Amino acid sequence: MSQGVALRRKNVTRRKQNIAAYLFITPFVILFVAMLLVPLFYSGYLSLFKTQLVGGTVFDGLGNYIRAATDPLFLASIGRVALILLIQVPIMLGLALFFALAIDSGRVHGSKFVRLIIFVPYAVPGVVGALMWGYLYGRDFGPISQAFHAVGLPVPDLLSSDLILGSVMNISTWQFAGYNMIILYSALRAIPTEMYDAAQVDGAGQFRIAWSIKIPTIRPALVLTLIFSIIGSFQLFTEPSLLYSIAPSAIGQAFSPNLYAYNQAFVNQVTNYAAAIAFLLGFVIMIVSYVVQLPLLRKEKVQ
Amino acid sequence: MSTIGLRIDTKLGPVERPGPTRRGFVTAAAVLLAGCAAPAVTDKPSAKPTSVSKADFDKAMSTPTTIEYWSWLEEVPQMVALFEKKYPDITLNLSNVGAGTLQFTKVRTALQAGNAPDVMHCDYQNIATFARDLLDLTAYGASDYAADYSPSAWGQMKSGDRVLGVPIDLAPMAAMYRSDLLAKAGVGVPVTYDDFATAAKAVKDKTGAYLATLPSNAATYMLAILQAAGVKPFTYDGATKVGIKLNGADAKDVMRYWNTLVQAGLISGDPNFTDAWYRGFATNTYASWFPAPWGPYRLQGTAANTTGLWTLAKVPQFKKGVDTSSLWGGSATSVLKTSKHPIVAAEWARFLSQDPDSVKLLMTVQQQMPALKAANASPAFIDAPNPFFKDQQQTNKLFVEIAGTVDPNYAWLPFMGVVGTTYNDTLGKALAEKTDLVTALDAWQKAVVDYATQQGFTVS
Repeated sequence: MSQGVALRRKNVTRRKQNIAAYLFITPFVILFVAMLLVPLFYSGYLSLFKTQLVGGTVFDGLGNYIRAATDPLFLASIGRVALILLIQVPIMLGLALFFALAIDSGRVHGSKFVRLIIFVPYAVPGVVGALMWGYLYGRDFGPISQAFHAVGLPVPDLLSSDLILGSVMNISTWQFAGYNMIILYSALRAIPTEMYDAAQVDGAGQFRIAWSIKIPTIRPALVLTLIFSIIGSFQLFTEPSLLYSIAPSAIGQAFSPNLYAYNQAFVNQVTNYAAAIAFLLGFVIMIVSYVVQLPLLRKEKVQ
Repeated sequence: MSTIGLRIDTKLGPVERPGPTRRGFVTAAAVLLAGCAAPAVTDKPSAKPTSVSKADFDKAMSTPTTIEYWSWLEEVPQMVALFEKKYPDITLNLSNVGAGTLQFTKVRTALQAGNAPDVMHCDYQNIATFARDLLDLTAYGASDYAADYSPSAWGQMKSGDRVLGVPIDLAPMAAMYRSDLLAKAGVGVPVTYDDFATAAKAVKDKTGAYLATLPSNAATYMLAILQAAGVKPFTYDGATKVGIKLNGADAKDVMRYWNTLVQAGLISGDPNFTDAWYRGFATNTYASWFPAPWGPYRLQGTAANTTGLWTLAKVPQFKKGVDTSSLWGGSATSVLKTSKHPIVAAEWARFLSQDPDSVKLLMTVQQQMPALKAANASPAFIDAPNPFFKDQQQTNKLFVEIAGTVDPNYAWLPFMGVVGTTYNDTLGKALAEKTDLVTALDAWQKAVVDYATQQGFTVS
């Protein structure tokens, strides 16, 4: 067979493979464009206008963005979710890591069952979870209050303005610790066991192995869960939106940026401003994620 | 895509289309300036017909037609069935898309998308919000039956001289007290607010119950209490001018009164219609409520153990000898301007609240007070017993009496949803956290005025 014929046959095959590949991803691309990109661009388009109940729609340029950047409610909501990020995410990831390491160490009996139990809250729909916790936190009939009552301690109002932040953080932690644990556990399972043998020969105990071998090796998975958690914290919506009906004063209309955007769009009928808020939130998330990723990626390059 | 988000308002003159190019922007500005000089375009002829001819009516009701009806009234399918039985060629497509704000948000979206329903259930306070989208029923015979309705109900349908809905029920605000807890505290049923303050202290000291709740999430309840004290904070001309005076001297007097009680710990600020709130009645946490006729029925489930322990009375008054009250709720059936079958739609609106069988269902299964004068003066309504109230016959008669003391002229703003959320954040929050109510009232006023100005209204 001459070189030319062989080359042509390879090109034809590769072209066929390419066409097949494009055909396979076409359904996804269509949906992606229709459901994600088009609404995104339309939202961006909307955010450049201003609609008033009196006066209709007017082109406003960056007016909405300037208004959002100086809106005390919006800035307070960003501050609030940033605070949640700084407190809740380390606690939740710490718990997830601890559970993953504990189960991976092989010291836990019935580890499959334990994994399931910790993961189940993630399988509970967010709506159900928030409603359930709303009941648990109830001042008059919630089990937590009843427990305090039974012991004789003053009952804390977990749905008051002072404590609502902690209550919301608790719901998020409960729901997502299991999900992050599964990601970290899968990463741990992928570590080659020769390293452990070598470590044990050197006399390392389980804690030392966890600290020096496991955690550094699963750094990419940790970064992944961190980025997901950052995005998730900034996007907080389900919990405040559902707790609003039972604790309207504590939650308010701008507890989180997404809740603020929702209220602006659907209650106040100011969809253009809501679009601008949503985009600003997106930019904030992008910047924070990038800033967080930077030192971690740089360390990898050095290694 | 070019028309979404654009609201064309014929009353205000031409409105510019979104023009992202410089040329488009300049053209739009020129058009706007030209529009300011021209008189407002109206689509109404100057001489309005006041009813539909019998021939047109018969033709419309015997042509097979389907109309879309959105309502959250639980028992309305039964009334729909009655209507379809009477007019076999008409099909009413009933959809329950959610109660209150949920439905109105969807109606707004549907109006922009061009597929709004023909008819919708609309509470009194939201008629102003849709004033520009609702059909004037005067041309469809509304003036024929205007006098058949209680004045306070009919007054709520009017926007200028346009009739924007047919009232279904009437909801005058009364007061109900736990007679056993009052007896335990050694006080009688309060007649003035001074009596009420004394009673509140006695009831809290001797029984631990709150004599009243001012819910931190119920703007309309607060507005009804203010209205009963003679405060009318809103005006709206149907187009671009609104008047907002939530913190006038009269309103502040009322707030100062409640503030003393709240700071003394005598009033509960719990949000209403939550699980915990319903159970508050069953557990003797709340010793009174200011309900409308639909109120007691809501409690009969969870608070069944308090049946027979309540007394119905008129709301307390600030001045001796004055006897006024207000409406808390009440709804109507309104036809959308975009409907292609206005005759059929208008007939359904009329049928629901006037047909004798439909009215009977309203009173019995839906448990509301009908707005039709003949109905709420009928023995069927007046003599209907309510076991919830102790030894009382004719509690409904008291409601009818109270309805007569309500001023029929009360205006709402065209954005009550925002009035509600700003209440939750300001005055409602103050009630929940027991901070100063008068300052919070000013904050509420400011928030509503800010929104109105931002939306282009002329605020006075």
